[in-house]
Amino acid sequence: MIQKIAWMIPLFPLLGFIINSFGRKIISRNMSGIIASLMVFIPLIFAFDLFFSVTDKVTVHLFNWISAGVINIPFEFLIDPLSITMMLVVTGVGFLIHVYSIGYMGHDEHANTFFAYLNLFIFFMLLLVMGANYLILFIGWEGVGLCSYLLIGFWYKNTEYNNAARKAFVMNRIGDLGFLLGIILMLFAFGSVNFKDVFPAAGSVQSGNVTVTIITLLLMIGALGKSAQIPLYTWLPDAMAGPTPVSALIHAATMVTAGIYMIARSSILYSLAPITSGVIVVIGLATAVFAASIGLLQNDIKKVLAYSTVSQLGYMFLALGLGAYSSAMFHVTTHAFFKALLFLGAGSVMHALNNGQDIRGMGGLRKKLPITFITFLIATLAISGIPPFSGFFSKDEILAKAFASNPSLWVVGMIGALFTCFYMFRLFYLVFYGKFRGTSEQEAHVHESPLVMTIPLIVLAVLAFLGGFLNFPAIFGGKESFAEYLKPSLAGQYYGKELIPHQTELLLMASSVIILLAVIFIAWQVFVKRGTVPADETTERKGLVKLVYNKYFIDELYNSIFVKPYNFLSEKVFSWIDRVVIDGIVNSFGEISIICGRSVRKLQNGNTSFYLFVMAWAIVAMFIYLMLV
Amino acid sequence: MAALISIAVFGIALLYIELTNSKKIQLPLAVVGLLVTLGLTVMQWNHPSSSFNNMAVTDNYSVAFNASILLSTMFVVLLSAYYYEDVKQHVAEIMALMLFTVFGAFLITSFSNMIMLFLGIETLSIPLYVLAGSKKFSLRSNEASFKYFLMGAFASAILLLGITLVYGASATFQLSAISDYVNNTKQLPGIFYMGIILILVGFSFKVAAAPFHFWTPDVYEGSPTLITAFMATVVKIAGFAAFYRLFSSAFSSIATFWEPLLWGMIILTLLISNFAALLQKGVKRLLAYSSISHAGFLLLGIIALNKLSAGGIFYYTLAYSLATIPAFGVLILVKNHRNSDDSIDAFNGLAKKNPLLAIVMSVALLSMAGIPITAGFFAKYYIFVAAIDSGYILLTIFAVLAAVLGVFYYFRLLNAMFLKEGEAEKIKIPVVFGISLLITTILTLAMGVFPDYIIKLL
Amino acid sequence: MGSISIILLMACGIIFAVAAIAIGRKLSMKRFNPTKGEAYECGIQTEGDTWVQLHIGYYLFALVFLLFDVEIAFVYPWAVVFKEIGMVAFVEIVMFVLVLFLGLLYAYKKKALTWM
Repeated sequence: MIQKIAWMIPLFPLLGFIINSFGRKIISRNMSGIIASLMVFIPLIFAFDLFFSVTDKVTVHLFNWISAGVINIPFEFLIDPLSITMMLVVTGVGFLIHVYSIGYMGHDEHANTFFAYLNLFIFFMLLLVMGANYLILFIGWEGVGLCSYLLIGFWYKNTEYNNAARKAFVMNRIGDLGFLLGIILMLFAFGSVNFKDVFPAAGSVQSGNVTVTIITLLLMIGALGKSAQIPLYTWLPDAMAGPTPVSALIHAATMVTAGIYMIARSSILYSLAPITSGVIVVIGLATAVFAASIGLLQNDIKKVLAYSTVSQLGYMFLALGLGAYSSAMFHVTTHAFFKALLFLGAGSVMHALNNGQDIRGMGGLRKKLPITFITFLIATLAISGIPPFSGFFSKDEILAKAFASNPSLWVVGMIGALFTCFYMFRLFYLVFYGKFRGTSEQEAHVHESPLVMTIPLIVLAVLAFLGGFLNFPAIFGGKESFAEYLKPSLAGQYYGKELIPHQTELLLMASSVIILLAVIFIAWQVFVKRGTVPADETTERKGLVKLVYNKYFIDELYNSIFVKPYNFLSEKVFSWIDRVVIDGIVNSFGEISIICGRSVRKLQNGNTSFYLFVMAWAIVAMFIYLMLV
Repeated sequence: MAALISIAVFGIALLYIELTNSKKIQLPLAVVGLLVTLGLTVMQWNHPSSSFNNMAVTDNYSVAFNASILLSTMFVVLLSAYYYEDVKQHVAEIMALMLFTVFGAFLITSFSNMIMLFLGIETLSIPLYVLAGSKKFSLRSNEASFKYFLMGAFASAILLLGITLVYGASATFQLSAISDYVNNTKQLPGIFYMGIILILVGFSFKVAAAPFHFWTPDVYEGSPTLITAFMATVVKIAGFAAFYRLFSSAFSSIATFWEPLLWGMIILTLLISNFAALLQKGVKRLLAYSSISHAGFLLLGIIALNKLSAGGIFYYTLAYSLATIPAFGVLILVKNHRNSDDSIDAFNGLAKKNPLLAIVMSVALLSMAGIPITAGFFAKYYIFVAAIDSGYILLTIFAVLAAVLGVFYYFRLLNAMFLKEGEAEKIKIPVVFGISLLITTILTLAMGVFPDYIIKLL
Repeated sequence: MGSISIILLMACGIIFAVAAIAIGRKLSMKRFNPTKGEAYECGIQTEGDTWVQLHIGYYLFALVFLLFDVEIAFVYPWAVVFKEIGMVAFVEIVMFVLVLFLGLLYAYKKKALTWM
């Protein structure tokens, strides 16, 4: 029964969007928030129903969408464990964030528009995960990009925010171009873009087939843009310009994982393309460590979390590259819980401090914001990978698979994990311990957020705590039920195989936990015992002029990655790469276009006789062509 | 035939209405005329016939294109009620001229004889020269009119010479006879090829393909905005309908000769238009370049020359018209409100005070950019599929890149509307205006969600 | 007719045009004289602006004249075959003239025939 009406799922948020955008004047802000939340809650119930009733693949056919020549693309939804998982994450976390937003955005005069956009986002996201072919997926993909763009620039009075929105849009277009080319190539190679045609057809393809490799590489480029991987990651930290619930929903829990979802969905193709998988491993691992190292020195609470998101997405990519698709999805799920929680917690802190974002201006908040404090602690422990919090299980699963493939991958991955642990606890201690460092005015204002904001925090905290048990590993006598559940949807090179001996795995776990605890202790020493506060922006760092890091560029780069991760120059070097190299490449495309445009414009000089002159010569040129053929 | 007579009669009737100066019935009469003609046109669906001693044929192809021309004209006429509100005298005259243009357009969508083609193109063009100058006291409008006339005359002469040369070689004006001649002659004479080249040039001028596009930005910018919308839609639909009809029937068997020329023109058109559009400050001029770039995409449908082409071109022209009319409509309102400032900055902060206009404009722009769930996406999609089917893979990849470039400049406008701050005030939207804007927007979205119903027609 | 003839034609055209100008330039004597720069107008100095605007009425009359000039062009061949076609031809030409007459009437009503 439920499968018959599954097509209605995306319609609810769309309805919410319509109601909220047309009733802007009539509906009160709170009412619009409630409507928006409700329109996400209903699909959540549907998704649960699907979860209990569908264990295999069900295709919901709506209508024949496009038929041009031999190409036939129906408008279909695919309901299978993978899409149900994503639906649950999107609507579940989405619903909590909607509720939270009622409190958070309550004072904003454009709250109704905000909720309309959020609903629209959920609509496109559901389209993305439910689509039964690459075209619907692509439409959802573009749609969520559009919503992200609109929401980043939501406070459009600020030019910087506009630029951030634009950067996100442009970078994603670069990725999308790759994605689109991949889809077109797929249309050629398989004559279809429907999952149900492409994947069986791929079964007869040899592993390492060139076409499949190119297709997967192109699709990967799309995923790199959407999931903020090297070299297309710089938009995500900038995207923090948007309201905090947006950062939580779009730029942490759901949209950025669309790239992961897409690759997992195409797992059959990727398992046939070892070269692509290798590239993904390298990119994922590099991003994971690189972004984590940047996070070490950020002082903006949301920027830290943003780089942490990039880094965590890197781990998911690593898992995908290793062929551990279910591990990647598992991390997507747990990450959605704890990262959404971290962002919402950060939002709660900012709310209390009247939008202060600099951690140097916080401190000692644990007494004043008890609920935020406890939930934030749970999330921090989860992301750091301390058992039994959810992050431990999902990250450890990825690292174990990395170890099975090549121990050095594990080592590098572990370094990233240490970074993560350190910057998260640095953040945590600086915000909640020590003395309050803000203005006295702020201090008087500090208060715990209202219930409508804290309840989502608590629910997410429970999920972040228990989420790991979804896939309780076999080593502790679990059944790995999450991986088993996803089995029908994914290419399973890891199913039914014991990768590394149990003793080794236990040893790895134990050592990682011990190191992590040591890191937490060091962070405690540095930031709580000694009360170190990161140096002020204005004073000394300006003394270290560009010359230094331009000259020692390579040295400092290596230094900062391998030798002295906590070298405070790293911040500058990485941001230099970020700004000059990566932005430079992206911007130079724009500049070349503008130069071309200028020369073209010169032709259009308004002089009719010149126009006729060009036309006449064009005709002469054509006649010359005639003589040649 | 009946539709043709009907549009002419209503055109003349409108002229006489103007004499009596009864302003109230001008608009209803024009709308009724278009509706009656639309009815007569649609009745011919699946009833092919020929008229004027087989010089014109009415088939599903022409009916579809005619219907889409009528639809576009209808929206333009509806917008004209507001646009010419302050002008005391000439509205009916302008509407009549529009109907005469449509008459010419009808001829060239359904010609089966070269003479009919030339007659149609002239009937289509001459009222347009006048319309371009219909803002009598604006220097820009006069300049546009004169430029258009001068260059149009040049292009007509070239086209006519082309027709003459083809006639000189084949001794016939009839398309089917030319086709037979091509198939049965082993060594085609040079003048025949020259004729094809000249005809190609004539058409490229009409549809504004590079390097014969130079008139477009100047004329589009100088003409009254509403007339620009009319030119950009009706002329383009009719021009491409005729272009494809001629080259797919008479010259299809020597496609290997003219396709490389078209190939080069497509590359040039897409390059010039998209790069030039990047730098435009005025929205009207930007839309003019965008119109040129659409011509480039549409030419892909002609070069493809397979069974998907006709449907693709039809879908594309319709989608393009449904996006262009509201875009110009919103431009008219904004421009009037900002004392004739049509720069992109005039759109700053539009979304805040005039969300409806901003949404209409966004849908139109997204459709032009080819973003999904708007008609524009499938327009490009079908055209690309047709081109790929005929093996033009490199060209299609190039076109896709051009489309991506296009996103940038449409995006500038979106950015201005949604993210920038401006001293926008509420713009009052006249009722008829608002309704036509909404209908076009809804149609654009509907076509984007259910493309199959349109594409299956042809 | 192959491409040779086209090349030949184009070459001849170009040579002819270029030669005429080049020879003229080569052979002519160039002596500047202020009188040479003046507009030629029957030997008398022009008065006022050279760009005299003609009365718009001329053009209107010319256009209306054109209407019936074209009519004659059409009626002539019609007259030749009139006998063979008969009544249908008569009705058609009447409609044709009627439409043209409507045009004249319109021009009259718009006061195009009044000299202002």
